[in-house]
Amino acid sequence: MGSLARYLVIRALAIIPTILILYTLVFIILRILPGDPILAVLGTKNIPPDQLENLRRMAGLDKPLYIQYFSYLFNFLRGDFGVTITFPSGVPISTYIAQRFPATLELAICGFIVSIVIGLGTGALAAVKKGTKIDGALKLYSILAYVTFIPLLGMVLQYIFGVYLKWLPIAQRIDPGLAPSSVTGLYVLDSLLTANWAALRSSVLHLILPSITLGIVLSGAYTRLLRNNMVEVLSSDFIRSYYSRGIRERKINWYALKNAFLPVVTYMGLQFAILLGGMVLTESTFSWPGMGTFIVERLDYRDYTSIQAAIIFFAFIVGLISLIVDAVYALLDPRIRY
Amino acid sequence: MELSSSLFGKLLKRTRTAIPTGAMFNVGITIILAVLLMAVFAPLISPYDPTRATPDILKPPSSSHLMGTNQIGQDILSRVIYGSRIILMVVLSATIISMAVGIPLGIYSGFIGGRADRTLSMVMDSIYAFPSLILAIAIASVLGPSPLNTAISLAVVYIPTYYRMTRGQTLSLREQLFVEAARSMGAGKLYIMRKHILPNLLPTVLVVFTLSAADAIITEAGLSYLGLSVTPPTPDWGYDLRAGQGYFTTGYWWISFFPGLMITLLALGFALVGEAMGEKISIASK
Amino acid sequence: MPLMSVENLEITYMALGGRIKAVDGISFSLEQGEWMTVVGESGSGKSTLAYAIMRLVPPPGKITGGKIVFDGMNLLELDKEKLRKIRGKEIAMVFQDPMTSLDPLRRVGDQAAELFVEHEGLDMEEAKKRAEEAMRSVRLPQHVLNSYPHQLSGGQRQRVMIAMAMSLRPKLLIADEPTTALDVLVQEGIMELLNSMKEEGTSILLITHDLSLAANWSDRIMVMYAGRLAELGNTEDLVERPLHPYTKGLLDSVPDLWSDKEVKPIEGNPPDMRYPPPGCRFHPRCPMAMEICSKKEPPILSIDKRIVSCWLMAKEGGKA
Repeated sequence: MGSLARYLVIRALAIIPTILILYTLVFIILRILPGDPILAVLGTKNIPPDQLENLRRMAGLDKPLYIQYFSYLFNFLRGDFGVTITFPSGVPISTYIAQRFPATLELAICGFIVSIVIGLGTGALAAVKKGTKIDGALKLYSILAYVTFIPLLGMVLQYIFGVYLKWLPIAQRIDPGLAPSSVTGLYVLDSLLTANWAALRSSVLHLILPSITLGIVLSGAYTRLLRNNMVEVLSSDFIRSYYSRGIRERKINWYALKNAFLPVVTYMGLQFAILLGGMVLTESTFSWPGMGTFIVERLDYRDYTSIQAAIIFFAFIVGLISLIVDAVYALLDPRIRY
Repeated sequence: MELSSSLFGKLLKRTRTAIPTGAMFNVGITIILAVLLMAVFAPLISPYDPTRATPDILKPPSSSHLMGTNQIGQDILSRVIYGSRIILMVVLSATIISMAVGIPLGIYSGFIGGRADRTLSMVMDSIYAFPSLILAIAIASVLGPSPLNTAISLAVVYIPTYYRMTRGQTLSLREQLFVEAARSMGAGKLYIMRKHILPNLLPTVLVVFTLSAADAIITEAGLSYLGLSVTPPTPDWGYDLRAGQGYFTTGYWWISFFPGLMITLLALGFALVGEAMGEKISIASK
Repeated sequence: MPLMSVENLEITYMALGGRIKAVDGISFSLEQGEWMTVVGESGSGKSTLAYAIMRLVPPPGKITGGKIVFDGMNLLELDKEKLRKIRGKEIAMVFQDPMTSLDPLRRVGDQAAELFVEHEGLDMEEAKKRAEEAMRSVRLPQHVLNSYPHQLSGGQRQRVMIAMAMSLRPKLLIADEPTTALDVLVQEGIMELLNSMKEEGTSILLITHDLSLAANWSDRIMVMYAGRLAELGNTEDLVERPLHPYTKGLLDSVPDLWSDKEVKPIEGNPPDMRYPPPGCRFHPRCPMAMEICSKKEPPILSIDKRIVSCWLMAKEGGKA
């Protein structure tokens, strides 16, 4: 396992430039491009100069650019994301992120699981039924899923399952007053840890519709990718060799799925980034109190520092995810492990 | 993660399917053309003034209002027709900017190689790995809400798509015989890039254009859904969908449904054309 | 009764440019404990024939006629489950490329042990023991079982494949060019393994393009050309007294087989199977072609213990 550890360290080091580039990019976009960001976000010029100066100081904009660049990065790495500048002003952004990120993470994980389950199921089915009507229908599904506008799908599901059938809640993470005491911030996990069954039930029910919305839209790419990989694997030598040894077909299909899944893993990092983008829309549609709605709310308040912190936070998350994906890949593929 | 090879290309190459390519292309191009005509002839075909509020509020679809009316009595059909203008304009102009930047950079990077190529690739791959909607939000939030700014943020977001595709293609074209031949005959680098590489990129550019346009439509709609593009009373699909969302769950589904449907339909049109052309190319190259 | 008899087997590929009869009316039988080798150039249909016995002809290929009777059953009429029980246990196969014949994601031991779980209903522990035995029988070290395929050499992997093929003592082993991807030194060892199986009563059907390999190891040789049988006979007879001009051509093109004779390759190329020549498919390349050869398909003749399909022999009084 020594070489696995070494591999991961190397990959971790390779992630650093990606994070730095993203940080720099966001920094450039937010600080350098349009002149004065405070004025840009306030969108009005009728502010008393002393107040403007105060805001600039709070946002750290009064120092030279290169100092801003490094001090922001340094503070960020220490978990100090700055303070809000408007409504309310002076609140550490880290307290918001500590509240909001677990909500996003919980929904992202569930949506991701749904997309993988649907994607692998449909992809494997399409591969086994290659060239049939089922294969064609699933191809159409994958295209449709990919182009579906999240809010539209979300609203239709809300109407059917929430309003018409009254089976599921359509907004928020949990019923009011039921929130479990916070351990991880992930409600499902927290309610399990504290054996709070009412909270568990409520949080799971609240997760269903947004996860399915997110999951369906993201599953299309997996359907396609897995189908094509699996078609290729099913015609490979070792599958034929399994057949020649009289191994049961169900087992063979399972082994083929494992092999076809491997290249999908490398794609998951990118897919997770797409998922985070889709999160913003999903959270917005389902009033989910996560990072996405946080950004949207702060946009309304024109709270420039919060938006900046949230977006740089996303940059770090993207880097972290690609590291996790590398680790998972290394664990799954013995050719890398040894 | 290795991001430099175009995933997209891989997806296209391996796809052989049960759906006839021709049918996909025809359906897709019909949708695109229909929306395009709708945008061009909006004043002629829309039954009402899309911005005029009337007392006829929240009317369900009927013969006088085919898609119903919204909470301030505007005719949804007219707003849907006019709404096609903004989304098409934003997406097409954004795409043109992305191409104008991404393609030359990609050719340069792939053809010249070296340190510039490595740096550029790393930057582009990083942007590519970042959630496009969030990046667009970042840019749009600084620039302020307007269709032009939306187009600029979309343009930035899709530059890496064109860059990566062009670079990959250029790398393989560079090794091909006719380029070798031109080089041995003493042709200059710029000449080769312009005369030999660029024309050979065109089919792939077309495919990438249609597929990324499908993506850009969704992103544009997302931005305007979040309130980062137009301001009322301009008709816009994403914005209108948002405006009607509160009414949707109380039964006034038509306010949001039709704009939402149009977003998905238009994206589907581009995606189908892209798929069909991609299959044609991959078959031809076999 | 022979262990297996193939009667009038016909395999067709439905390709874009039309139908290709990859195997066209092949008949032969194989005795218990006999080693028969099928020799032919690439495209002769010899590998397709091997896959057909396994019922593993890859699409768009299809068995379109004939019978394969193995141990009293027509293999072409068996359902999936019966077929599965025969594969690996009664008939085993070793493939051309050992590099790609093992699942890259699973340990060799798991893949080998699976065989005993599937066919003998053993639990994993017992099965592992049997897998160890199997590896010992092909003189592979035990650590191979804990290895992943990519950690083994090509020769080792082929030994693993053979160990798996041998382990259930099948009645028939089909080996499709088992040494083509390996170097010559490894080749000898693999052939000896096959021979030891034969000595324990397993029939061997070896598929190869290498006539000298066939001559060194097999009891009988069948020569195929363009999907048809050219000649079939005991190794010694066939090598010393070839009846078919194609067999003779093959022998002449092998360097240094039994004597110092001159090496001459057969002129021309195998036919494009989409447009096979009329009559005898070998006639365009045959130095002894006669008028009839391009007009009528030659009859299949039995001469002593030989089978040959050539107009020359028909003229010399063979019986159809």
